[in-house]
Amino acid sequence: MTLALHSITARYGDITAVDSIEATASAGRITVVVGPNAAGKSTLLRCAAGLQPCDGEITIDGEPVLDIPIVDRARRVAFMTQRPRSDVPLTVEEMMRLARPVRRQQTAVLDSLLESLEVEDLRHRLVPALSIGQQQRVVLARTLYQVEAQGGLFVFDEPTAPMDPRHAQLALSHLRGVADGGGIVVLSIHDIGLARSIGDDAWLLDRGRLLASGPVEQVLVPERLEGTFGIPYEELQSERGGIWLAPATSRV
Amino acid sequence: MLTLMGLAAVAVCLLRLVIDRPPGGSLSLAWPHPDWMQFRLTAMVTAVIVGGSLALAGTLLQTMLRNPLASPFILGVSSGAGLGLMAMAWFVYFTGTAGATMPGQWWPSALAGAIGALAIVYVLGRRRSADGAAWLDPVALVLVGVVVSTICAGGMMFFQHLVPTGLRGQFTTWLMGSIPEYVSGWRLLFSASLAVLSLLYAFGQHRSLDICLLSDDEATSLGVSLGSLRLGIFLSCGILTSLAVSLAGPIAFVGLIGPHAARLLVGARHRWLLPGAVLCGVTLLVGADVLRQVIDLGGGRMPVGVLLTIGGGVLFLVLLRVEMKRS
Repeated sequence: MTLALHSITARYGDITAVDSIEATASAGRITVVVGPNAAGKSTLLRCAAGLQPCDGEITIDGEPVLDIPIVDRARRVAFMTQRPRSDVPLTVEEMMRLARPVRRQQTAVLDSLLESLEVEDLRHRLVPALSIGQQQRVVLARTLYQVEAQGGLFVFDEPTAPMDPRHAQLALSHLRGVADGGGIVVLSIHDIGLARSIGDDAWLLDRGRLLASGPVEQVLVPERLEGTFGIPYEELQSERGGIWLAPATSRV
Repeated sequence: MLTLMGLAAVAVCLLRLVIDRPPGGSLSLAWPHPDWMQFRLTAMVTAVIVGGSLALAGTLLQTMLRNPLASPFILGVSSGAGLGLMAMAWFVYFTGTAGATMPGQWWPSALAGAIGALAIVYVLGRRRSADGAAWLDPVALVLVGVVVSTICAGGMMFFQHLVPTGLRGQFTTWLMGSIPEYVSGWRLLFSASLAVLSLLYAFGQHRSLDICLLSDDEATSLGVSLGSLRLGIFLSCGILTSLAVSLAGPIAFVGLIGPHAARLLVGARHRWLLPGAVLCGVTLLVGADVLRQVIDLGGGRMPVGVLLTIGGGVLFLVLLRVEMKRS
């Protein structure tokens, strides 16, 4: 199963936020979307999820996303926004149950997600009473609950931004689980080190244009990142064998 | 909890039927003489329709606009409906097509005014963030609503100014908000039918309304077609508000307090919140109508709108405080 973006262009008035992008993302792999602020990452992800009007065509296995009726699309495409509403006067469990209509509720799956994302003990608390990081984990749990991994498209806009490092790792391990379960996972992320460690493929954006796409080890390389972000990067060899990317700057 | 709320609403309705205080006389509770029964029954049924409609409209506006301060009165929807009615009343007086009469009789003009005001508030309160997501600015929404309400109030004063003194006095009384004791049976039936249809439509959308508490992107991603839902819900709000205003004039705070009280009692899920808000609105307005039978300040019975503007404002502040502590 493949998500394909053909000549995607999105504009806000005179501003072209995303310009003629051609890219693909495959099931079973995690695609990270990387780029500076205002590079067009969020707009591109909203286009991919069928939430943003744009020129061009977005298809899942050849079927245009926008041709899928909205109710059916909700069963196949899940989107986690960068800015979920934090003042929704519902409990955590009520919030989770919004993800599926009554006939599709699976309490065991819901319970398992709440437990594995460590929000089980908050299930009867009101969402506005939670910390930002806890709210983000609840929204992540809801997004994962919405669509079955097999055959689903999962789009996440900076899902780990307000999370502490341990919970960010926990969240990313869930995304790996979704990809291993046969889903297409596309996420934007600012932490280049995390992007390199979690991603299989990468789309590098700057000022609305796609600079490079392909396997992370080919796209997220120090020379290209320095050209995009304007700061030097270096590759660090982890003791466990992985490659970590970090800004090679002196102390600020 | 809903059952208890229903019992409270029934109790207050029965109280409205049996409470009695003749001018200058003392307060008593007695089943009314058959000659008076029709008037009390009409006032009670009218208050039920108006209270339930305003509270339902307030709930729907608060959800769709994601703003706890939204209500038909604050957003200018009631004033828009009132302006529509006053304009039509003036037109009929001016052209002499049906003789001078009270503004409450032309419901379609109220509907046009209510929907027009709501459309202006919605369009001007909407913003778009840098990543393209549309959202409703809660502060802009209330500010635009207050300005629209003020402009419509100015328009109503303008039409008041254009009619002769006697009719102007009637207009002023209507503008205070009062529950009439005589309304034709057909009009009550028509109003009740539309109010019930609006409630059934909204109840049918209860899951979508729950989802609408989230952002636009989240709601669309979860399968809610926001465009058609907004159209249906805003139309329902226009119908409910215009029905209420055409029956009883612009009445403040029922559309604001009803939803907040219901949310405190039954939570925010619309499956319970919608009937809960209707029951709270009914209890509040019929209760206020009962209370005004008790108050005797020597100048005749106070219009229920005046009582609700003063008492409702204070009650809302109390509810606001409770809700802030709760969250």
